[in-house]
Amino acid sequence: MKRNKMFKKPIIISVGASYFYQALRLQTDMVVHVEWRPPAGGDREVIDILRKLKEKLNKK
Amino acid sequence: MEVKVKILYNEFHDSILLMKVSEKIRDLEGIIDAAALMATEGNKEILKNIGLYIDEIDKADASDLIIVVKAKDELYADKAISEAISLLSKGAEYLEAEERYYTLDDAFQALRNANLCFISIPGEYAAIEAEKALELGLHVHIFSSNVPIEDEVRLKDIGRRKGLLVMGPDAGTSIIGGVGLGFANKIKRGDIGIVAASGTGLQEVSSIISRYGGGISQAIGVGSRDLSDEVGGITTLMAINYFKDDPETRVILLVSKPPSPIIAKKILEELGNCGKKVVVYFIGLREKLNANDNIFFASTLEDAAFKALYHSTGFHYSEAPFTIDKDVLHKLVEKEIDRLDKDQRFVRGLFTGGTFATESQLILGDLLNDDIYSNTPIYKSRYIHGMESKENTIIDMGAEEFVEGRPHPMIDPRLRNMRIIKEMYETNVAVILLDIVLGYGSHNDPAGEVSKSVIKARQNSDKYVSVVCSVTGTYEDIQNYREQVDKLESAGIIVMPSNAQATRLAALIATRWDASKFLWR
Repeated sequence: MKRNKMFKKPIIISVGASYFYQALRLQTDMVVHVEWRPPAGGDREVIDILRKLKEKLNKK
Repeated sequence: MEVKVKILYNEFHDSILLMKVSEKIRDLEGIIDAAALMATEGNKEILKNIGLYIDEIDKADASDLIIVVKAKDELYADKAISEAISLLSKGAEYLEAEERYYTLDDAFQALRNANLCFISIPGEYAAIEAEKALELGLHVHIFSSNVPIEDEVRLKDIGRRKGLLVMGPDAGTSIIGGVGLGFANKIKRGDIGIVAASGTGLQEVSSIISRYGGGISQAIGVGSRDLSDEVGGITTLMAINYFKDDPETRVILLVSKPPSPIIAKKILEELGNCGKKVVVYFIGLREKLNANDNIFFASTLEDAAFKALYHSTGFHYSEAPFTIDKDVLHKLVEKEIDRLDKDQRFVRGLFTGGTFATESQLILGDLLNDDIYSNTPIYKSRYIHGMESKENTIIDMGAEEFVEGRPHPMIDPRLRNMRIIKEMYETNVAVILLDIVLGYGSHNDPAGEVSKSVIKARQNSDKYVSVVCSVTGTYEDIQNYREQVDKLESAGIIVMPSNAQATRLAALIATRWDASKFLWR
């Protein structure tokens, strides 16, 4: 398994709930937070269009 | 009285921030009740149940945020809604700017030696972020549930090829290098390595190990579906492989739902050849499996922890159903039975941990000689919706119908508090059975919350209902195991040393000792 350093000293990027980031922060300094937002503001129609576009581009 | 709603279309905030905003506006002057939440079907259902639903909410859907307030008059309602909007816009202001990023790539640029990505976003988006993390060479822990199983298989395949561990999806807990991810307790370091397909299972075994003088090297949460046929135990096998070569691990403890025979064979073969002592608890598996003589099977979470402790520290344990003195137990049960009416016969379990709900169904099923109703039943015929109860019932309040667009009940105890009170008013209920889970990620005073509800219900009822629980946690947890137990006991709640023992005690009380014939044979 790669990067077994994780088991000695985890250095963490926490994506999502700030609540869990804060729980991690109580235990270690080696953590940063990504304040995540859904793509296209969570608008499902736009997300669907983006997904289809991406699929098309991938096919090309 | 005025119920008012404000819909913020296509606005998203994480459910924990929404819970905090709800709590703040609920405390404002002139406000009777309030909630800020995403307008998912589950949340709409909850609003209906607590009398906060008005027709206007029909217009909102899962991608919209709603703020509902019940106030003394319109002025108070308007004031609370603007306060909620302002609190939401401040959002994560309390986080220091240099520690906050908006994309995984940016965060990685700032922390190039990162080796692990923890993901807690809605399940439908989790795979996208996890794949990015794997591309960056990071191990991944996915807390999110509701990730399609095809995505799980794809992510774990990528991880395996790259030598990266994919813990989860739906992994509530891991403890890596002493740092707890998700819901985790402060556990002493030691030589037991845990692999678990159950978050609360991991919390219970690691807490018992720590409380009884043992410790862990690492605890790897693999996600609830890792041992399914589709996933094939990819992460479990990688974890076993890691522990096999890890000089700090002398004993391996595996906790999981029973896998299919094919997967079980593969896992047991790997464990049989790992050269270390192994304890396996396949939750609810009745038949005996063939395995090498370095493998020992356990019958409950507590039994699994005790067996691992025995191999690690020489800890002495017995197979007795209770660890407390027989005379003490006798007096305890007698006292509770004396206070019950003849028609109070049923047990109602309200759990925040899914594995506790399953473990209690298994134990109760045997002791009451009856199948138990549940929203996560062992037998499909005993399914009931999470909002309902019937005869002997165990509800997993962390199940999908309760947590979609809402914080987990370990974080936000409000729904369970209300349910405890409701069940205590039911005529035929003898015992309420609960779990109290401490640790990082959990509420800062879960015992205080439960105690308040029990005291309130007892004040408003002439009838006595027994309340039995166990506390999952350690003396080093931020909430402190001892203090939490004291608080519960002062409120007249019986605290047992494990979920298994709490469930057995509930059965003895509800059956007026009749269940003892199954316990001491």
